[in-house]
Amino acid sequence: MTRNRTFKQVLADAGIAMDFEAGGHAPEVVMDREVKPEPHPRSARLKELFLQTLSSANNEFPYWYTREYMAHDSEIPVVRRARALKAAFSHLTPVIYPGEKLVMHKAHYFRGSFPMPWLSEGFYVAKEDELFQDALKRGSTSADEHSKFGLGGGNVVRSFNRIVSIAGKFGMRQEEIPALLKLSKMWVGKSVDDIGHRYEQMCPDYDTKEKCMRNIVCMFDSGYTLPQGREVINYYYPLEYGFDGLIEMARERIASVAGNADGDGMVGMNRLYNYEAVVLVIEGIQAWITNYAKEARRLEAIERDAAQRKEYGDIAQCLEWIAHNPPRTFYEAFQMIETIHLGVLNEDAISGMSPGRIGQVLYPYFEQDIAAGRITEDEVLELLELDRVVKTSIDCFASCGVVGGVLSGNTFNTVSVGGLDAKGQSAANRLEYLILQAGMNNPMPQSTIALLYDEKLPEDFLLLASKVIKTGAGYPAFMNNEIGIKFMMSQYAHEGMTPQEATAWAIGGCLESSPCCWLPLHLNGKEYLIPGGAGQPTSVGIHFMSLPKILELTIFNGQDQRTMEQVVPPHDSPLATYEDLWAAFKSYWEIMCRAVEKANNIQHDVWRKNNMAVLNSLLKPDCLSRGHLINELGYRYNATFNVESAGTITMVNSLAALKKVVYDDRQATLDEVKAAIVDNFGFKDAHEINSFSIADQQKRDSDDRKWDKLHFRLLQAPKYGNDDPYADDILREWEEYFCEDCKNYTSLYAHPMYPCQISVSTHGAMGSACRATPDGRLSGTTFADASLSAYPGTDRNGPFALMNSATVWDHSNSQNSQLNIKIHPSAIRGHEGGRKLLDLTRAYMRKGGFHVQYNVVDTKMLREAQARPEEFRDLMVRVAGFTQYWVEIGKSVQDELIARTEYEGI
Amino acid sequence: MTFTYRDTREFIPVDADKGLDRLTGKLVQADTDAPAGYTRLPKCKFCKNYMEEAANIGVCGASAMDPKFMAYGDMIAVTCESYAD
Ligand code: SF4
Repeated sequence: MTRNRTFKQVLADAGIAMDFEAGGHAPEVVMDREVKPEPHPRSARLKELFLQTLSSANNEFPYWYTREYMAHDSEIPVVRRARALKAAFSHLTPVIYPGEKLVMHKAHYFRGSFPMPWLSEGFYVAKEDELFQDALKRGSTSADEHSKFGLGGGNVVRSFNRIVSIAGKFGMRQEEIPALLKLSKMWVGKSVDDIGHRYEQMCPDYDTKEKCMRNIVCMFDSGYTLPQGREVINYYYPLEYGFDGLIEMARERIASVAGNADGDGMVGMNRLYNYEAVVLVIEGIQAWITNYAKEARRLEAIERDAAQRKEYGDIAQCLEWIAHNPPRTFYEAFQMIETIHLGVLNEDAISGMSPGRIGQVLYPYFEQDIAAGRITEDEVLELLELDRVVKTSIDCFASCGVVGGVLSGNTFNTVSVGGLDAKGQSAANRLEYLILQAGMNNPMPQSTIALLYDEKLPEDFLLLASKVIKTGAGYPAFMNNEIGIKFMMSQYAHEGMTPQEATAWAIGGCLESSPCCWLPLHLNGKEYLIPGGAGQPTSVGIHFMSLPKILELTIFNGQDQRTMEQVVPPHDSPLATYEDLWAAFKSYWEIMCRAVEKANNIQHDVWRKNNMAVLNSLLKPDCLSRGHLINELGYRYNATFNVESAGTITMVNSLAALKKVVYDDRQATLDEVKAAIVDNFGFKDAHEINSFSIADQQKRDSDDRKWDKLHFRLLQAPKYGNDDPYADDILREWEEYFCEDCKNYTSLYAHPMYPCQISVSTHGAMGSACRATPDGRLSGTTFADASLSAYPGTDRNGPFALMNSATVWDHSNSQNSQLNIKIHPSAIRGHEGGRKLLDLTRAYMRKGGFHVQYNVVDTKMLREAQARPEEFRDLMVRVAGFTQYWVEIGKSVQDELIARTEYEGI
Repeated sequence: MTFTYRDTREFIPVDADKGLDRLTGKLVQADTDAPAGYTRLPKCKFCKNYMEEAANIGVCGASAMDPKFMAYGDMIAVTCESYAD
């Protein structure tokens, strides 16, 4: 009987246990997480509203942006863009929800966003008929359609009522569709995508780059999908000077630079236009804030409830003040950074604009307000909980492949805590304890918390972090402060970074180490050094190269086995030795990186010419003092572009299996392995059974078991994660090569690149496009998560062995590395369990590991959640470097999480 | 006179499909009728400058461009300086 036999059963028949548990057995009953959230009632109410909210988009911002932009076609590009931004910000409709204390939203929905056709309009124009038809069809409201509401959480997975689904994620009113299409058409031939496309075709290896994209060797064109992000924002200048102060500063600078090149014949004259753009954009932000203030006053005037009326009055007063002046209190400062954050996210398609170390940034206000009795710790805690609602409500409107396939809808507004202060001492302060507490009280995906682990951090701070992890929220992640600082110095010393400045670093995006700096904030005569971002985006460069796919191309002489397209020229090597295989793999890697590098540089160059960041730039040192924005290297640190890999461990295990079975033990020929891969070892494709977990794969009914023996051999070959040098040496050799090779690629800003090793959700999307691999993984199934997580079911020797395997190479040579471990809640119960978790983490940090994070969840609960998603709307899980609602992540990533080895004891 | 909820000042849009009634605090469908007496929300479709050319799309008569720039009837106009009731 072979009918529907699963991979797990096939293994069991062969006497191989693969129960995806390690260190014991989980209890029979489903076990919930130990620590339960206790939010303030106000946060709970707003969170409840969020959970009922659908991702919604409208055209207000693009309408006013386009209208103004098109009216000034002979204006200097930076001023033209600033005028368009000012018009768009000034016309956003203000909406204040009852109970909110921190106000303002990206668009006039609770979870609102909008398209930016000036980046890319092709999707809407290509879908014109489909969208029109969908809009026309939508006429009546049916209760039946409504009952499907919860599916996919807040994602509008399909059209219903009068709501048209865009890319399976965003809902737009049918009445807005004609406007979306008309606005999009105005950008045909003018968007970054279209102009970039015209020029990238002039690269000799353009064809290779396009084939890389088509065959999902590479995942996305960062130049027009997400031109900025995975960086740390800087709130300093508005906090120190206020918006009026910044306008005054820019006007003074205009007077001194107008008509003056100051020795720079290339871009010296541009400073005049740049400062003019700065003034315009700040005026737009002021108008936006003022419109909200007016709305608060209107509500104050009509509200019947006295307490709510007073709150509207307080909101209005705060907004009226911060629209012009530096904040005086913790509340005003918090509202100001919230406003700036949303403003920057409205300026461009951005994912991973991280607030950074807000526990340091807001500490001056916290310290003085607490001392003066202006605020209590409980009120601060409530604001921090509310901030989690604001941040989780942020949506990024980019293409479907990027938002779904890469990001799982996440926006990576990561907050960093811990680390060192400017004097080299522990930076953990009372406000940072409250940030952790708020993460526990109100667990929501944003802000994900990164703890910059340093030996100097107090024990009770680390134990509190350990307790927060037990909520199952997937944060804080632990990042190694020492490794982060070392990486900063190796990458940015040539741009002037000092060891002291390096300590200001923080996480931008999910775990991208980002350059920051210290700046002196003055409050009531006292000076504080506060950290903030000082570098360009790190979301840019050669992004998401699928290593298992490159190995597939290597063993099949350049031909993709799914599409049968010749992606790279044949190498024609018989791959007679392992060394031949390794050399051919590296040569393909280099060819494809080079092709993507060039095309991407052109896209970003087009972006910087017409679509440059003005608001984000004016916030970042040293744009205001130098008069140059991001596009003219105004930032202090510009060497931020990187090469991003995916599927590292699947590739390492595959190389180890080939080395063992084909080259060392000669138990099979390479041709036999290739034939087995083409035949998917006798299994159906993952898409056929709609499960992407290795454990659930099913044999074909016609399978004659001819590949079983070879499959078992490959599966039993040494695997990463067991402290076995056979596999781990391959990882080390790859990392040593990769970290060096990245320096051979340069960004448009003429700086060398470096490695970035996060998978985000690409291990699902890229795995789905990759045939079976020599490690025994089956066609279409998800790759190993992150860059150092073990492949499900293959790490059999416990977490310490896994950590030994992960640290065979020097993590400070890379921007990051990523290790996620799934732990059953029973394994870390009680105070003792929390301490064990901390000890385990500390051991990894001391070995030189950069990042570790835990999914504290019972696998049985995940299975139940997959079967009955409507009952698990607020279940959160850790994926790669971020936390997300279970119901809002794709099935391929869900399946990998279920299959991932669950540690029953540590 | 009654309006659909989403065309009233008392409606707080939560998402494209529903919102809160500011007076009752209840979640309501955006397309259902609001109680009588609710105030009309400024939108392009209620503006004297709006000239509809096809369903949900037209031009803004207040535009200084030649030809006049497009407008769409459903856009909220509380921030438009040229809105004419
Ligand atoms: S954009 Fe303003 S002036 Fe033009 S139609 Fe709309 S509301 Fe009227």
